[in-house]
Amino acid sequence: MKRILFLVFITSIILSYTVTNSFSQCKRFTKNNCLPKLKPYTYNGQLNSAVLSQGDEAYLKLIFYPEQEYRILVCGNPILGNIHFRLFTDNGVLVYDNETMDYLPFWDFKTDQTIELTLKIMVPPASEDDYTVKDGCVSILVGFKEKNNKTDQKKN
Amino acid sequence: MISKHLFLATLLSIVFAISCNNNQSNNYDDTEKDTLFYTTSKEAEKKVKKIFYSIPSPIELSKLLKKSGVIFDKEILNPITNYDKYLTNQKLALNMGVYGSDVSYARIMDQIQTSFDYIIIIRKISDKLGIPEEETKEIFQRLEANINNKDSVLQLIAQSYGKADSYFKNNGQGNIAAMIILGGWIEGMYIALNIAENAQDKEMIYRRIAEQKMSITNLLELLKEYPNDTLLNKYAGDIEELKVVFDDINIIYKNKNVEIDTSQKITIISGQSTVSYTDEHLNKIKELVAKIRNSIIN
Repeated sequence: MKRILFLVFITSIILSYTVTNSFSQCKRFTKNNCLPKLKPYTYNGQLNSAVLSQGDEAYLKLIFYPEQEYRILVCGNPILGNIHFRLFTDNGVLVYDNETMDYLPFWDFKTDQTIELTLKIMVPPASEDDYTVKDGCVSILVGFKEKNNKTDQKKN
Repeated sequence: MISKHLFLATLLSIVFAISCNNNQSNNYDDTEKDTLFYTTSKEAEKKVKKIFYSIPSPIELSKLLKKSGVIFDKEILNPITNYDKYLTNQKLALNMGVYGSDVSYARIMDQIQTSFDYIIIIRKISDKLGIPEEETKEIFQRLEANINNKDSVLQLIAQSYGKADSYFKNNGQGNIAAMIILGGWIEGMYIALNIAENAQDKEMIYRRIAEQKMSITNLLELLKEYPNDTLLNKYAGDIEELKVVFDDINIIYKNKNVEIDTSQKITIISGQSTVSYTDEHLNKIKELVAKIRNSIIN
């Protein structure tokens, strides 16, 4: 009986440690693997990250101004596979789908008017052969920088 | 008998683990719990829809103000002497956001000494809020050393707020992170509303203020993620009142177009938009923002 109680105790510690440690793992992952990929854009200072599982979806509503250029970075733990994301305008028009760019994890853009975009993130589902669903950290970061006038002049 | 014990052991383990995590997670918002604590068995697989809310940073808004040709007015900032009044974590967090907007505005307007004074206060608040020194020490040192370099300072201010945001969110204090965002947004609005009058391009500022119609819904949803926080509930009520005014402002888009500049590797979203607002809207927004800001800084 003592042995069983000991097992109970150890299992409990491992289980609780594993789950409560998710946040700090996500923090480290974001710091080491995601923030450097925002350069040369300035991080907007708002972290949107969560431990997501295969098949999960996440949404983020964002507002962008015409005076800046932006980078949206969707940074997922490689264990989850290629993270698929799409951006839609407020009336549901698709403006970007990273599937068309071989699941590139970031998108650089600028706008000539203030706009609101909705970012939809889709973690690929587990395959038929998997017995368990994997989970990992996904962080969404936004960076901005002064508009590059060269592209504006070219456009005009 | 042994299998009975094993079953009990497993059950107890799970109950204990869940109860530990519930204690830990009382401060987490419900959506975070959804994503973290569900079973990973294939049979129980389900789509979790996590929704994040984000609003533009005070630095972005300050850059817009500079472009509209405003004159720096120190009188509208929250005085650093008010810092001694902030005795609770909520007040400290709200005013960390306020001072963040103040320092962004001051530095963009080339007010180096003022920026330096505000950075010192922000560092003090960061310490008082319990953000570990190792998280921010390097950033604050670089801020003080690079105070003359505007771009570095803005980058570092954003980084220090990013550190604070992730520290609180990762430690189950998303409500404190939300307070920093709320304080920053209100102060950004307050500055814009009070300097527009003397700006060269006041219409541009008024338009950007009216366009905050888009941000206010996100801000409100963010505050509502913490229904157990009495103070955030109070401010959610205030923001709701402000939203009623914004609801009356119309934004209409026409001819939205998306093209890719392959040489610059950048997508360009173009089109026209009309923002319809009146002086009455702006006056009411100014009055309500001042009321909320007053309750935050005093």
